[in-house]
Amino acid sequence: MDILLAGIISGSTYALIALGVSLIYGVSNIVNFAHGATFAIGAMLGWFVASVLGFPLWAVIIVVIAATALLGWIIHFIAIKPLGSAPPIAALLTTFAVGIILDNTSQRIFGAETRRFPALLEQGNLELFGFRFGTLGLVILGVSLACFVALALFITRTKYGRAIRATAQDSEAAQQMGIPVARIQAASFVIASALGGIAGVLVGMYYSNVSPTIGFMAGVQGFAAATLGGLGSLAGAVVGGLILGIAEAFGVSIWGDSARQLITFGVLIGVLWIRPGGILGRVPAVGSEPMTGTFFGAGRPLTLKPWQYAVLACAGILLVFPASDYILRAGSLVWIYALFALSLTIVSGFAGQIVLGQAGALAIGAYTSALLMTKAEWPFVPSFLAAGLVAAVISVILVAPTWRLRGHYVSMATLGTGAFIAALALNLPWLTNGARGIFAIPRPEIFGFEIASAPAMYLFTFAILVVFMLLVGRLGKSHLGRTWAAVREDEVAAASSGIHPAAYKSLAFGIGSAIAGFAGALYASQLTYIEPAQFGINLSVLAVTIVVLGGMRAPMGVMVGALVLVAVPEIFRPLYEWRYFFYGALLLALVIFRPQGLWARVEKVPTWLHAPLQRTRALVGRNSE
Amino acid sequence: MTAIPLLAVHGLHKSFGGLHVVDDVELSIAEGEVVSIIGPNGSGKTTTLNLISGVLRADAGSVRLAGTELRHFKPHQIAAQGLTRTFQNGRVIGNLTVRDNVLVGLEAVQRVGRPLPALRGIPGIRWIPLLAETVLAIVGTPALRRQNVLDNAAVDAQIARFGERLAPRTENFSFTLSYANRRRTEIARALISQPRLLVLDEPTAGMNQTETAEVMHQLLDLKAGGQTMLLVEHKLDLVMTVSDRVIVLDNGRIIAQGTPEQVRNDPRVIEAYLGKRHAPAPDAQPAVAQPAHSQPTGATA
Repeated sequence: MDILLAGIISGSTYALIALGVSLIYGVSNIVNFAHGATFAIGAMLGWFVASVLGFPLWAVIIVVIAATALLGWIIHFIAIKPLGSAPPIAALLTTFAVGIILDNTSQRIFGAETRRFPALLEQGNLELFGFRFGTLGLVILGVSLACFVALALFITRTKYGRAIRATAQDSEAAQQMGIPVARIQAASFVIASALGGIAGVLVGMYYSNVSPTIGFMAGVQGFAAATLGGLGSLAGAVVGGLILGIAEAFGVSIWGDSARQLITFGVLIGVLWIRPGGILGRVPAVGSEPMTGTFFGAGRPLTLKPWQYAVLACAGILLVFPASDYILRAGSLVWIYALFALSLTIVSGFAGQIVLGQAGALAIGAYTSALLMTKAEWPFVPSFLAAGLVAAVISVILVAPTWRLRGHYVSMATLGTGAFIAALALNLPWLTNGARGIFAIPRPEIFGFEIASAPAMYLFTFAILVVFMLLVGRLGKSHLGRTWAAVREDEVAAASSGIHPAAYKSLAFGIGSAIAGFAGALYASQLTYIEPAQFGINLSVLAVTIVVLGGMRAPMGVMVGALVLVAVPEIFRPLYEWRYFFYGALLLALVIFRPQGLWARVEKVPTWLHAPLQRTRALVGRNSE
Repeated sequence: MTAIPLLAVHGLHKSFGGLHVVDDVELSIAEGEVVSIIGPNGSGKTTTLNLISGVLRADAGSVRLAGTELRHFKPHQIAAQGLTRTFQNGRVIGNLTVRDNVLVGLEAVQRVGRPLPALRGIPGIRWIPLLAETVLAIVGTPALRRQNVLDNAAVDAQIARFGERLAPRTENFSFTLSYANRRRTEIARALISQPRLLVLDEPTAGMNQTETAEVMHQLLDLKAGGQTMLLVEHKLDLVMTVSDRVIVLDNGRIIAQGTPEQVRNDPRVIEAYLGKRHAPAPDAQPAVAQPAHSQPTGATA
C-alpha cells in the first residue's frame, strides 16, 4: 500500500511533465525535446529560491511558475517561431538544441553537483488507517490535482481553451477563422513549461536532492508517460503518468533503484511496439499529403573533381609531418568522431530518420572491442569487426518496432535506446566493470604492426575514415540512395511504388550503427580507457551537430563538421567547459539559418522561407512608396 | 468472358470514428477495361482507392487482384502484385530528379541487384536480401550496369509519352516542376513497372483545358494499348470519353453504375450532384447533367 501511494505521488509528477509534452504535441504537432531541461531548470531554481534565498513554499512555486512560463515563451520564440512552416523535423532539432543549451547553462550557473533540496514540508508525519504519509505527499498530490483540474477547465470552458482545441484539430482552418495560431502555440509552450517547472519543484522536494542533469531522464519519463497515454491526449497524459509512476514504484521495490531507468525505457519501447497510439490516442492513418521540397533539400552537396579530393586527402596525410603529437592525438579523435557522425549521414541524411541516441551504438562498439581485447585477448582486427556487428545487431533489435512509425516516434525511441545502453553499461558491473570502466585497452595491431605512436594512430584513423566515406558515398549514389531518398521524402509514395519503408529505414539504421560500432572500437583504442559516463547524451548531440553543420547528404559533411566542432573548442581552451553549450547554440542557429550545412550549394530559397520573405518584401515595398 | 475479373472488390467498409466513409462498395474490373468512380466531394472516392491500394486498411471486405486477396497486403506488396497508383495532390519525391522519380517506380518489379525477393516478407530473415542488395550496390556488378542502361531507356520511353512537356526536364529536380508536370511524372512512375491495374486519383486536378485534353488522349492511348485502369475524376467529359463503365458514389455507397450513357441519364446521379430539385422524374427526358461544383470546364450532355 505504501508502494502504491509512492507510485501515485511520483506518478502525478510524471503526469505533470507528460501533460506539457502532450499539450504541445496536440497544439503544434511538435515533440518538445527541451521539456526535460525546463523541468530541471524549475527544480534548480526552486532549490535556489528555497535554500539560498530562504523563501517559503508558496513563494517558491510562484517564482518557478513565472520563470518557467517565461522560459516556455522564449523557447517558442527562438526555436519554433522562426521556423514558420518548416517540417516538424526542424522543430525537433531546434527544441533538442535548446534543451542542450538550457542544461549546460544551468550546469554552469548552478554547478553540476547534486544539491540538497530543503525540507519545506514534513515527510511521514501523518497516519491514516495504519499507513504513514506526509504533508509533502499530500501537497504534491494536491498541487498536481489542482493543475489537472485547472488545465481541464481552461481547455474545455474558456474561449482561449476553445482556440487551443481548434488549433489542435486543424491549425490552418483555425487560422482562417481568425484564431492567432502562433500566439496559441506560444501559449501552449508557456502553460506546458510552467507545468514542467512545478513538476521540477515537486520532484525536488520529494527526492530532497536535485542537480541540473536530472532533466534528461525526466524528459524521457515525460515522453514515456505521454506516449503510454497517447501523444496529444491530455487525459492520456495523466493516466500514462500514473501508470508509469506505479509501475516504477513496484519495480524499484523489487529490483532496486537501478531498475527505474530500465522500466521507463521498457514502457516507452513497449508502447511503441504494441500500441504506438497509446491508451487513449491513435496514430493518424494517413498524414497530410506533403508539399514537395523538404527541409534538408534546399541545397545540393558540393562535388569536387577527383584530383581535388586527392589533394585534400594528401593534405590530411601530410599534416603528420609538421604537427606535434598533441595535435595528432586530437586529430585522431576528430577522425573518430567524423566516422561516428558518418553513421548519421546514412540514417538521417540518406534515409531521413533523425536518430538522437547514436552514442548507444558507439558505446556498444567500444565495450565490445575493449572487452574482447582485454578479457578474451582477441587481436584488434576481429575485435574491431565484432564491435561493428554487435553494435548493429543490438541497436537494430532494440529499435526494430519503431520503423513502422515516423518522425518524432523514431527520435524518441532512439533517444531512449541510447540512454538505455548507457544505463546498462553502468548496471551490469560483472560485464562492464560498472562505473569504474575498463582500463589498459591495447592499441590497434594489424598484421604484426602495433599502431601506438601519435602519427601512426592519426594515419590509421584517417585511412579508415576515408575508406568508410568512400563506401558511404558509393551507397548514396547507388540505387539504394534513390530508394532511401524516396523513403525520406514521402513514405506513402515510396510504399505505393513498391518500396518497403520499414525495411529500408532499418537497413540504413543497421549500417549506420555498424559504422558507429567501428568508431567505438577506434575510440576505445585511442583513449585506452572507457567508462559509462563518456557515452551520455552529449556524445549523441555531438554526432547530430557534426552532420547538421557539415551537411547531411554527402560524406564530406562529416569531415568538415568534425573539424570545426572538435577542433574549435581545442583552440579556445579557456572556454572548453562551454563547448556543449556552443554545440547546442550552433545546432539551433544552423537549423534556422542554414539547414543544408556547410558542404552544400544553395540553389534557391527554401520553400518554407518564401512566405516570410514575401511578407518582408511587401513591407519594404510599402515603406518605400 | 473470363472467369475471374482482374480486380474484384466485395463488401468494402471503412469508417472514421462513427462516420461510414466507404459503405459496402462492390466493384469489378475486367482485363483491359477502364472504370471510373465519380461522385460529389466527400463521397468516399479517394478513400476507396486508398483501401484498394493498401494505403488505408479496410474494416471489412475483400479486394482481389487476379484472384489474389490483397486485403492484408501492405502497399509495397500490392505494388509488387501489379497494382500501382497516383495520388490526388501529386506525390513526387521533390529532391530527386524526374528520372530518379520514375526509376523509383521500378522498385516494385526490379529483381536485378535485389536478390532473394522471396525472403523479404519474413521479419529478421529479410536482412539477408537487404544486406546482399547493399553489397551489390557497393560492388556494382556488370549485370547491374547493363540493367541501369535498360532502365534509363525505359524511363525515356515513359517520358516520351508526354511529348515535349517532360522530356526537357528529365534531369531537373522534381520540386522545380509545375503542378501539371508533377502529375505527369507521377503517372510515368506508376506506369514504368507495367502494372496490371493502373489506379489514377484525379490525374487532371489543377490542369487547364488544353492539358486536360492532352491527358485524355494519353489515357485513350493507354486504353488502346490494353491497359486496365481505375480512375477517379471530376471532369465528366474526360470520364465519359475514356471509361467503359462508370460507378457513382455518394456518402460512401454506390448509387448507380453502368455505361457512361446510362449513368449520365440516371436521375439518382443528377440528384446526388445537384440536389433533388434538378432531378427529372424517372420517365422524363434526361436533363442536362452538368455538375456545377468544381467543374469550371463542365460536361455537356
